[in-house]
Amino acid sequence: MTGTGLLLAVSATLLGLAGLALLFKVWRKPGQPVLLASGWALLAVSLLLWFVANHDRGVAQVTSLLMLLVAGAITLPGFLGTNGLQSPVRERPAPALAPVSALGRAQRVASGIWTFLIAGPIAGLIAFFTAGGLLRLIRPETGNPATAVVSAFIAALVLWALLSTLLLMEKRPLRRSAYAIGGSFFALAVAFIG
Amino acid sequence: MAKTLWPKSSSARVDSSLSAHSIMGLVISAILFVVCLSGTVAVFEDELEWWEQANVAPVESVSPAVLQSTAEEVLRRDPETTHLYLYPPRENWPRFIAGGDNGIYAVDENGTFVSPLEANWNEFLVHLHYYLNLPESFGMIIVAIFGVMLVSMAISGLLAHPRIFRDAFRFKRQGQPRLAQADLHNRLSVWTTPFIVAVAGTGAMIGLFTIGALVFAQTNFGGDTRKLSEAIFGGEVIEADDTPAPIVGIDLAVEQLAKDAPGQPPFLVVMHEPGQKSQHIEFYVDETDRLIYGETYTYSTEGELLAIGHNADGPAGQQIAMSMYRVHFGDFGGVAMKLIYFILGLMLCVIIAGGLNIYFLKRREKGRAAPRLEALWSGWVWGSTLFLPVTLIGAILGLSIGWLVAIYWIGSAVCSLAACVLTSAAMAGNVLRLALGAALMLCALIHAAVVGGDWSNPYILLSSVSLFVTGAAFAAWPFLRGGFRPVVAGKDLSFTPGE
Repeated sequence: MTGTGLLLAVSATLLGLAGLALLFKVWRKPGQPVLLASGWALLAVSLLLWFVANHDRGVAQVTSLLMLLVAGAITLPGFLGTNGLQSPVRERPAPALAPVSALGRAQRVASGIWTFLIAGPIAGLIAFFTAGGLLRLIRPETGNPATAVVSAFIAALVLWALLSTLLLMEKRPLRRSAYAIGGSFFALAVAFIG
Repeated sequence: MAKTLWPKSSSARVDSSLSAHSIMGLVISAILFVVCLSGTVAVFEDELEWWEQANVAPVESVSPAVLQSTAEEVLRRDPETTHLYLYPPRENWPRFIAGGDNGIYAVDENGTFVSPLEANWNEFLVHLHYYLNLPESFGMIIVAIFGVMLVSMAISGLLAHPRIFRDAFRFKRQGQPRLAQADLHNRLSVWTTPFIVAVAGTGAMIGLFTIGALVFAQTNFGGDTRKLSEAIFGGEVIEADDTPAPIVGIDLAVEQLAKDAPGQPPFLVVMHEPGQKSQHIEFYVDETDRLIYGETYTYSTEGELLAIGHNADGPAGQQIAMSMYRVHFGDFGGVAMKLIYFILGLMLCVIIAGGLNIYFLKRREKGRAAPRLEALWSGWVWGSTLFLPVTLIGAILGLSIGWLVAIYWIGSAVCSLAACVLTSAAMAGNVLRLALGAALMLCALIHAAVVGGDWSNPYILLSSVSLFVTGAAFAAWPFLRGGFRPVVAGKDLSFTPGE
């Protein structure tokens, strides 16, 4: 980094810290929209200056640094003061649970395995084949397809993560299964027919 | 408190998000913890590799002639290799490493081969993080799926957090322990979300590339995975010709590179098809303001520039793909950035461990305490951490990688089961923390006695001192926090076996 770059980087870090301090101030005493906007603006300017100083590496550097400083500042005092599983907890009396039959237990295990398969491999299959279909749409007819391929790849991973979450959020097992199976057919159709 | 900017969410949606977050957490946490912990330590893989072979002296620079003679010597030792790799020293990394497909060596500044690169623990650690010590092609996919699941956990965690801005700086240390644990878990998670998503996403992309390539090749490239791979990473520069030829031209190409890319010495030199007519030389040059792994320049053995990779100024997709490695391992700002990544990685481990702590504390509150499961979890967290330095001691004493793998997994499982059967979570945590501290200090001491090393080398000295000081801190921790009795006033939470 050049001397100017270094100066920019230091100023940008200070601006970022000032932005975070403003956000903290607004959090402590709400109802100050100007300060709130200024806090976010300073953070944005900080990232922009780091980009000027050291391009995308600079943005990654300052983001990592600010994350560490804030997460450390907020949690370190608390971290030293919490006791994890050593903590005493006011325990309520255990509720009486209905006995579960062997068949019921086996059904629960099977349901758990099916849920795992849906949220893991099946969601992955839907995500990758849907992204394959997306790639057919965005791939340029001529020229380098690298950007289209990488975009489809990123879309596949985000979609997989999102689908896993959404399928696990669905509490009714039948509906969850129907979504997953329907989604698989849709993805395969999009990938190979569409 | 401030009005939240987060979209308003129904309590039903928050409940189902939380339920999804819990289910996923329960299923993946144990293995995810090991992946994250090993990745956190692997941030320093280069430094630890050198530390394991501390007697290799630093090399400040090597001449083009030495690079040439080193390449010749590598080919003489490994005539079957299809590539030669030379890692010349660079500004912040004074080492010279060279090798082929079947062996890597530490080399001095005159091109003398000092010793084979044998850093068993480092290799074990990297294998643990990349493949969970499973067969490589299978293991990498499994680890990558854990990356996707971590992103999924981040999504469900954010959806389950309706007061994300209102709670942005909140940390409640007093009152209900579960809320304090939840605050620790939530604050760390929210503020480190970009890091978590970046490392999990890049890890998933690296590990699932083969799966993605297979699917996309089927749907878009007529089943030709090579075509897809070449679209991103570029293809062969010269058509293969296996007619034997003398290995020449690295010195010439280095001199030419200095003219084509002035002030940018290479950090990696790869000779493709060495000893064949189609041999050519590829240089990786560090673009110090970019996240890409490096810009590539390919030369013929006559010093003619054949191709530039355009990793820095090519299509955005190529730039993103080439940035995966540095973003994942925090290798974009020297030791300082690695240290930041290391601490952020530790925070991620705390998030994972804390997540299950919240689950267990919730169960206790509902009258469904599961002390044995709590102890099992505590034993796993601290046991899998303890057995990293234990295996390091084993490696220093000469154990092979197979033994290290066995000791690590069996040792961690035994710690976990012993905690479950014999003691409470709190006691297991304290005992294993003390053992971890002792093991870390022993690492430094045994290393000094067995390996020795050049103490004027700051990389070696700092590694040893860091291990010892961290060990001392862990060993002192249970005593500073009230000894082996659970620290919270008035109530002994240990339980006796059979209770």
